[in-house]
This record gives sequence, C-alpha cells and structure tokens, in this order.
Amino acid sequence: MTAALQIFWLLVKPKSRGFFRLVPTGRKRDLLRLAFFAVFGLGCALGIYLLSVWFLRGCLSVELVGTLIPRKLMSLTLLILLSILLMSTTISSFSIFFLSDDLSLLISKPIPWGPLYFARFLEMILHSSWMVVFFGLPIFLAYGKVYQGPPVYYLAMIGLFIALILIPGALGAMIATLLTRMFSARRSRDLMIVLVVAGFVLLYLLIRAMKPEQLLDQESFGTMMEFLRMFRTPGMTFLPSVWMTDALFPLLESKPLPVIMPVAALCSTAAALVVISAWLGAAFYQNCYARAQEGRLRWLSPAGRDAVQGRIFGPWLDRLAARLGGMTGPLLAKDIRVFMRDANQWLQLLLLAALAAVYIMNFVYLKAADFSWFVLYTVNHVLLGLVLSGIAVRFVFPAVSLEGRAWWIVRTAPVRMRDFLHSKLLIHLLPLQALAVMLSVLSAAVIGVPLVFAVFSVALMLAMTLGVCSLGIGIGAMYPRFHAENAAKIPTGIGGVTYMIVSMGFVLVFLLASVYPSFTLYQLPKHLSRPVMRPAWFFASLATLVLLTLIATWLPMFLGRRSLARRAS
Amino acid sequence: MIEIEHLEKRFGNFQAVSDLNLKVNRGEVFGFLGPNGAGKTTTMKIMVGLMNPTRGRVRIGGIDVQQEPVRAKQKMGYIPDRPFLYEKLSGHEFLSFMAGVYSMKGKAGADRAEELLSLFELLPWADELVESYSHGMKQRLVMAAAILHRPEVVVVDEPMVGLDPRGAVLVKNLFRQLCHDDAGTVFLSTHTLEVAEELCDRVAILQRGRVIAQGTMEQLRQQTGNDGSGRLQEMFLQLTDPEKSVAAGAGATL
Repeated sequence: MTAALQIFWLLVKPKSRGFFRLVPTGRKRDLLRLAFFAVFGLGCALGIYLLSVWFLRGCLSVELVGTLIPRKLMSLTLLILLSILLMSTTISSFSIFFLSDDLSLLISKPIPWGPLYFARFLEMILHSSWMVVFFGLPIFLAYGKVYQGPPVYYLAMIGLFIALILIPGALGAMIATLLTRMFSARRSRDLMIVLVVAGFVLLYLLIRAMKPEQLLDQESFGTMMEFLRMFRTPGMTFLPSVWMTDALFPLLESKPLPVIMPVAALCSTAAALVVISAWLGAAFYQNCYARAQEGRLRWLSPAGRDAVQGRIFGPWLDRLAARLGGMTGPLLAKDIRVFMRDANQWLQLLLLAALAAVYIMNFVYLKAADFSWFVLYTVNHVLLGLVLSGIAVRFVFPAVSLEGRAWWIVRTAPVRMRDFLHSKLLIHLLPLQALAVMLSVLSAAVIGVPLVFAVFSVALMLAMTLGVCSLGIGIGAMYPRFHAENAAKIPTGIGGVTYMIVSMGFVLVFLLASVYPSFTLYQLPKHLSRPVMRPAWFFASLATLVLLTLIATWLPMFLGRRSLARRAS
Repeated sequence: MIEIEHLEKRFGNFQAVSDLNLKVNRGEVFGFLGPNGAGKTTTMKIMVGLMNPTRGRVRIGGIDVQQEPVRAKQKMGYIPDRPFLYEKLSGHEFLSFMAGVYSMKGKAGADRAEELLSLFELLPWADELVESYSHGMKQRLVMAAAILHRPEVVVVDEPMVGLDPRGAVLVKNLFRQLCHDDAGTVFLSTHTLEVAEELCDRVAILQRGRVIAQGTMEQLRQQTGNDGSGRLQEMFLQLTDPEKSVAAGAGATL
C-alpha cells in the first residue's frame, strides 16, 4: 500500500509542478496580469454570491411559496452542475486516460495499474471540475448566509461537493473506457462532442418551448394551487443532486437527523462508482489504450472518407485559392480543409445554427409581448453584439493558435506577419459578417423595423463585426496557444478572457455611440422641419462610431503583429 | 552565400550564442557540429527567422535576414529537427499549400510537388492525411517542402532522425546534388559525425555558443595534431572535452 501511494505521488508530482509553474514568478508584468485575472475571477464569484443572496432573500419574502422555491432551486442548480460535470469529465477522460502525450512513456514503464489510474483520475477530476466548483460554490455560500447556516453546514457542503464530483467523474471515466473499447478514443471523443452539442441544442429548444418568460407573469399560472403543486412535487429521489439537497437543507435549518440517509447514499454511491470504474479500467484499459492509438478512417468506404475529409470540394477550393493568390489563397484553402476535417470544429456549426434559430425565435416571443419596436431594435443590437463576440471567441480568437506546432512553417515562409494576419482577418471576417447581416435582417423583419432602420442596423453590424473580428485576430495573436490539444481549449485561457472583456466593452461603447443617431432617426417623422435637433451631437456620434471601428480594427492587429514578432526574441 | 557576423543570443542571463562569425560559400555543404546545448539550433533558428538575435547579423546571399526577412526567406529552405506539420492535410495538399506560400503559380507548383513526392517515395501516400504518416515519412515531406521552391540555401537541423537507411542515402545524395550540381548551399547540423564526415566540405564545431574550431577535415586534423587517419569523432571529442576524450578513447563503460 505504501509503495502504491509513493508511486501515486510520484505520478501526481510533475503535473502539480507544471500547474504551479503557470503562476508567474517575479516579472512585474506577469504579476500584474495574474492579479488582474484573480481580481476579475473573484469579482465574478462575488457577483454570483451577491446575486444569489439577493434572489434567495427575494424568494423568502414571497408569501406561501417563498420557503419552497429555494430548496427546489438548490436541487435544480445541483442537477445542472451534475450534468455539466458529466459532459466535461467524459470528454476529459478521453484525453487524459487515452490520448495524452505522456501516456506512451508511462504505459511502457512497469507502473502498477492502481496508482496510474488514480493519478489520472485525480488529474481528470481537477481539470474538468475546477471552474464549475469555483463558480458554483458562491451559490451555496449564499444559502449559508441567507439561512444563517451553522459552521457544520459549510463543512458538510465541502465534503459533499467532493463526493458529488466523484460521481460524474467515475461515470465519465467508465463511459470513456467502454466507448474506447468499441471505437477508437478520437472517434469516441468526437461522438461525445456530437452528443453534447445535440444535447445543448435539445435543451435550448426545450427551454424555449417551455416559454420561461411566462414565469414572470403570475396570471399565466391557472391557479395558485397549480403553482404550489409544481413546487411540492417530489424530485427524482435517485438523483445525487436530490440527495445533496436533502443533506444540506436540514443542516441549514439546524435539523441534523434527516441528514444521515442522504449523506450515506451520496458517499456510498461515490465510493462504489470510483471502485467500479477502477475495476472496469483494470479489466479493459490495456486493450482500450492500444485501440486509442488507431485514428484512421478504415471503416469508411473511399467515397465516404473523401466526403468526411472534405475532399469533394478540393478542386473548387484550389481554384478559389489560386484566384485569391498571395497568402490569403493558400491559407484559406488550408484553413477550410483543416476545419472540415476536425470534428471539434465543424460540429460547432450545428450549435451556431441552433443559436441563430433560437435568437430569431426569441424575438418572435418578445414581439408578442407588446414591446415597442424601438426598444426591441435597441435590445437586438446589444444582444447581437454579445452573440457575435461569443461566436468570435470560439471561431476567430483561435485563428492564429490553430497553426499549432506547425507555426514554424508560417514563421520561416517568405510572408510578412502583417499579410498573414490580414489574411486570417479576411478569412474569418466574411462568414462572421454574413452571419451578422443575416441575423440583423431576419430580426429586423421579425420586429417589424422600418426599412431605414433595417439599413442602419445592417451598416452598424458590418462595422461592429469588423471591430469584433479584428479584436479576435489581434488578441488571439497576442495570446497564442500553439500547443493546445484542440481548438475548443484555446479560448479558455487568459487570452480568451481578455478578448471577451475587450470585445464586449467595444460592443457596448460602440452601441452607446449609435444611440443618438438611432434616436434622431426615430424622432424624424415628428420633427421633419428640424430633422437633427443637435447636429453637433449627431455628427460627433457618427464620428465616434467611425473612430471606434478604426481603433478596434487597427490597434489589436498592430499589437498582435508586434507581439508575434517579439515572440521570436 | 551565408554570412554570420558577431552573432549573439541571450536568454535572460544565459548566453546561448557568443560573437559567432561564419562564412559559408556557394556550393558548399557546411557541417555545424557541437555537443547538446552548444547553441546550434538557436543559431539556425536565427538564420531562418524563427528567432531574433540579441546582437549581430545574418546575411543570406547578401540579404540581411533581420532587415529584409521576406526576401531572405525566399532564398531559404528549412528542415527542423522535429517535423510538425498540418496533420489534417494530405501530403499533396501540404505541398500545394507550400507552393502557394512561395508564390509558385499553378502547373509549375503542381508539377514540382509531384516530382518531389516521387523523389521522396511518398506518391503512394500522397492523398493520405499527414496524421497517419510515420515520423520518417513526415521528415521526407518536410524535406520535399523545403526544396520545393528550389532555394539557394537549405538549413537542416538533424536531417537523419527518423529516416530509414534508404531515406538516409537519398538525402545524402540530394544534398550533394544540391550543392555540387545546382550550386546551392547546405548548412547542416548533426550529431551523426559519420554523416558530417561523409558529406561536409567544411565543418565548424561550436561549444558554449562559440566556435572552437572550423575548416576542412584536413585543417581540423592539423588543429588537433591528428595524423592523416584521424576520424571526425575523435577530433570532436578531443576538441569539446580533451580530458574525457581520453576515457572515451580507452573504452568507457556504463
């Protein structure tokens, strides 16, 4: 046992050292950056905490149902956290148990199965759950605050959280092992991503179909009894989220006796699942790891392979590349091919299509709620800006990093860094602008905006997308992650967060500058004799819009180029 | 063809390359040798524009790499020690991409790619994705890409790693042909001293960022006081660590 523990620590040590080396040492710039993100992260957590406290107090002040809602909400929050953790641990399990680079070294050494499995399991759990825990815990701290929970509540909360995380962790490891036994690990991970995307799309549509905005309208509930019944129905008692709620709530209310059963259920299930997953791994891991090394599309016909690998567009793509010439042509052909052959990438388009459909549907519902078209028109711009920033962080921000370890090819090629970045901008700008124009036109049609506003809206979106896209390419070049395992991981670092903050800031300031011109247009029919009330404001706003677009386009591209050139030093 | 003048590279307090001066002529295969950590790869990365020097300059065919990187890179081909490529492209598509990057127009680029795929015996796998290639196949593809645009200078870091004997012979013949028939220049770093001895017209031995010896094999023998039969390996050991070379020569055991 001692020897096994020693090996376990030996395996864990390099990873933990690697983690602590992420924390910069000494340099003032790095320390400032770390301090900024620490403050930002803690600020977000504090925001969640304060919002939860405010919401829970609000719930408790409602007569009759007020005391029922927090318990139901805790159960629901835990169920959502559990679902996210299950998806995240399963996808991480494929990478950490079967696809990591260091596995070939470890598997070839005489390391006993037990320590190896638990070291990987710990890494997988920490890797996939830290963010969920960091942003989930403030909600439970808020419960403690509002209910004035005793110290034992906080202690139990930490212990039970660990047990709760172990359950999706063990299930994720088991799912990954069983799927890899049947297919290769890469294909299984891709399959999982499809399922996750499909799950999200389904969830979106279900939530939309339920029309959650009706919750705000008390009259939409038939009777008060119907409303009460909804909260009194018992949850699914076999779910760990329900056990945890049943364990924590009595503690909040200082009634420790009913706690024993749910705690026992949660802990014993977690322990049993960890043991079963280790046993399953011991039985199948060797075979599964060998299978994981097979990544080729042998099971497809040659025509199927060509279709999957995006070769049917090959000649067309080559002609387009030749016509564009310069760096843009070859880069475009290469980027499209790589995109179409990476399931992690093209599958996200499904999510994008669902997002677009839901976006338009939202305006159908909002229109039905009798909001003024000018309010909806303004809200549409804000939402569209935020949605475009969200899409850009996933698709545009990683553009430079996606060159990956083959970055040396671009660096040693006779190509100016400026031309390379401009090509990347052009390749990503056109589809993003097409999407922005499509959403802008469709939402304008749904809202029933007059033509002149629709045209103004399209012009605003074109300019804003140019800024959002340039920020993505530029900041992506300032924070490249050439060694990221897959595209989805690239925006999860400091660079991605920086981009989101800057991009959203730009969107909000840009739209603020557009308010006065829009309002002038809105007032136009009433003031035809004096179409512009304050010409100085009007023209200053338009000049600000142009200036903001130019700054957001030029500055990040300049900084990105300079940063890439400095990396060579 | 290659001029390196007072080249210096520092990483914080660590001096990787110190006041390096080299001249390599057109038509030469130049061996750049040295123990691990001597600064060979750093020097080559500066030559091809992957790194900037702290001081000094590199000129390729009279063009300063730092001042006019695009023109200088047009004259060069680079073969790194580890062949990282775009894994989701096929061999054929990768060479098409490289032809585009080097502004090789339409048929000329396609014909040259075909010729090199055939030369490096990659044609049967030309339409397979690079991710399914072995290390040696990737290395061959990188070499094909490096000479696709007929560069005047080829910079090679460890050319034989991962190559099978047939591939190794192919590469040696190719470098000879490039330099002696096509008047190109090959700047090559290797730890395989037999390869350097067989291929190189001149060599430089680098240690702790400084050149400690350079010249033809004959000149090196004179510098080390070897008689006519002295092999490069013995001279290398003698130059880089005179005390340990005695133990190595006497048959050091593990």
